[in-house]
Amino acid sequence: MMSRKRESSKWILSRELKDTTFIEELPEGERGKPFVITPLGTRVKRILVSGTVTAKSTEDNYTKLTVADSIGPFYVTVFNSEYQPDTKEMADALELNEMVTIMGRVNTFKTDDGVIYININPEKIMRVDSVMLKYWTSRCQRIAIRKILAIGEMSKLESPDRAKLVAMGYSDEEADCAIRHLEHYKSYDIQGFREAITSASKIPVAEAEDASLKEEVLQFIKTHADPQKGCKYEDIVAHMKGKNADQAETDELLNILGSEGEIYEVALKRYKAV
Amino acid sequence: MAITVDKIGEQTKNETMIVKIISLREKETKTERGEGVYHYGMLGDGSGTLPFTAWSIPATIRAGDVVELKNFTVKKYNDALRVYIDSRTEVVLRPDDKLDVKHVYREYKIKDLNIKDAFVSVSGILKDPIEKTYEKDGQSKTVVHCTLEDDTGSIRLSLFDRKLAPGRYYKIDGAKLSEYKGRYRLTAGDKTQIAEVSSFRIPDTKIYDINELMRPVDSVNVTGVAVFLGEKGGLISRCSECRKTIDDIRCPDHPEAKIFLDLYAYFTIEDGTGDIQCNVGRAGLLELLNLKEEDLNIDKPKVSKAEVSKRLAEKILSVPLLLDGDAVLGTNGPLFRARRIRRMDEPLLKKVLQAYEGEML
Repeated sequence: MMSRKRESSKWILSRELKDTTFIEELPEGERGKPFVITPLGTRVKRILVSGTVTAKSTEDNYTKLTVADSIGPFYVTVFNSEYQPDTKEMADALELNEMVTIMGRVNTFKTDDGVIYININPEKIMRVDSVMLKYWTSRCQRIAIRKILAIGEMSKLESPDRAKLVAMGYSDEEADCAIRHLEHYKSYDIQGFREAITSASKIPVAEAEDASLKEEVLQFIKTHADPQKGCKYEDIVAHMKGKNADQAETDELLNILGSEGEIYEVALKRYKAV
Repeated sequence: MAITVDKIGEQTKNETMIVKIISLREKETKTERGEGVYHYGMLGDGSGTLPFTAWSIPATIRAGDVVELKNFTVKKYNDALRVYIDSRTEVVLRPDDKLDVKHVYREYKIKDLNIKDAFVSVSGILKDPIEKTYEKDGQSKTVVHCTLEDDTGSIRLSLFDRKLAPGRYYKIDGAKLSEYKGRYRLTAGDKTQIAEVSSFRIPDTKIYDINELMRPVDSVNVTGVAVFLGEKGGLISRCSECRKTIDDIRCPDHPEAKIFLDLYAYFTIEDGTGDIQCNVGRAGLLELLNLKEEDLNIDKPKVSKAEVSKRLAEKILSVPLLLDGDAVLGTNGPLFRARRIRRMDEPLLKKVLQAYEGEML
C-alpha cells in the first residue's frame, strides 16, 4: 500500500478562518472532510491554533469550546470518540482563561443561503503558556504577511505564474496560495485583513467572553420567537442595545450561537432556538 | 565569427562556436522506442564553461578535443544553461587547434547548494580541521577534514594535500559537491582554486522555515512545536560493540559485550510552513533533561526509563522549541538531526523574533 504523507497543519489567525467562504469539492467517490480555501489562499484541512479558552459548554457526547486568539475566536467541538478518549477528557478539564494550543481538523457547515460556519474538531489539546501564544501569533503573522506580499506580486503579473513567484524567492506554498486567492477571493479586502493581523501582536490578558450576553441572546430568541417564523434579527439587535451590546457584538454572538448549534436561521435574518 | 561561451544565452540560435570538450560521458537509455545511447559532459573556451548533452556526436570525438559546433541549441535545464547537440548540429574536429579553458563555477551560499551542480564556488570561514594521512601509489599523503561556514549554514570540506588556517575566510573555487549519508560535502582537489578573502558577518542563529529545508545543510536552526514524540525514544540500552539498541539484558549478536545506557529521541515538529522529523542524541538530551554523564552509569543509574520518558514529554511537547543542528536527507525525505534543543522562554523568543524580523526587513 502506498504511504500517504502526513497532512501538516496550517497555522492561521482566527480572522483568516472566519472570513473563509470557499469549500473545495471532494473528488467523486472520496469521503471525508473537504479542504477549505481561506482568503489568503491557504488550503486547510488540519489546523493548529493557540489562544485562551473564553467559553465552554460540556455535554455527555461533546464539549464546545471557544478559543480566542488576539483578534477573534475559534470554535471548537470535541466529540466523545473511542479513538481519542483523552481529547474529550482534556477539553472537559480545561478552565476558562486557560491558554491552549489545539491541533485538529476543520469541519464546515454551509447554510442554505450560503453562510459557512467552521469549527475545529481537535486531535490534540495542549495546555500552554504565554510564550507559546506569542510564538504562535508571531509565526501566524509572518506566514500571513509573506502570503499577502506574494499575492501583491502575483497581482502585478499579466497572468498568474507560479514559477515567476518562486523565482522571486517565495515558496511553492506561497505561490499556490496567491493563485488560489486570485481564483476565489479577488475582491477580498486584503488591506483590512493586514491591518487586523498586524494588531494581533499584542497578546491580550485572557478576557473571558461575556457568557451572560450570549445567554441573553439565546433567552431572548427562545422567549420571543414566533413558532413558525422565528425571532426577527432587528428585534434581537434592539434588545441587545439595551444591554450595551452594539450590532457588531450581537452579530458575533449570533454567529457563536449558530456555530454551537444553539440557534438556526429559519428564514433570512429570522432565528429560532434548536 | 564564432561566439564565445560567455555570450551564450537561451536565445542563441544559428551560431558557431569553437570549444574544447572538457569531459565526455556516455549514458544508456531505455525507452518504449528501444535502447539508445547519448553523451553528456562539459565544454568550454577561454571565456567559461557550460554543460552539454549530445543526442548525437561523432564517435571519434574524445575529451580534450577542440571542435567547431554549428547549429547547436541552448536551453535551461535545472536552472542552468545547457548546450544541446543533435543530428542537425555540425561537429567538426579541429585536431591542430589548442584552447585554454577558463573554468567558471557558479557561486553558491552553502544553504543553496544543489547536488545537480557538481562543481561549485563557495566562500566561508574554515573551522575545526582534522588532519589525516593516507597512502596513495606508495606515497604518504594528507587530507584535512574541516568545516566551511557562511552566513547561511555550514558544510564538511575535505582538502587534499593542502593546509589552510582555521578561523580565516576562503573562497573555494571549483570544489566538488557530493552527498554521503544524506549530507552534502565538498572536496577540494588539485584543480580547485583557493584564495583567502576578507571576513564577513556570520550570525549566531540561522533560522529557517521548515519548508525551506529541502536539501542538506549543516549548522542551522529551526523553531516549532512538537506534535508527535516517538515512544521508543528516551533512556535506552546499547551494545558497546555494535551500538544497536538492546531490549534484553545482553546483545543477541555480542553476548559478551558490555551494555551501556544512552539517550535518544525522535519527534515531529511543525512551524506553520510544514513538518519535519527530528532526532536527537545523548549530548543534546543530557542538556535538555538536566542530566549528567554519571546519571547514566548502568551499574548505578540515577534515573529510570519512565522518569526520562516523563521528563522528555514535559520538555518537548506543548512548548515552542529552538533546535540547532543539521538538515539531512533521510530515506523518507528531509530529516533534522538536532544537536541542541532549547525550550523558548521570553528572552530566547525575543531573540528568535528579532532574527525573523531582520529577515523580513
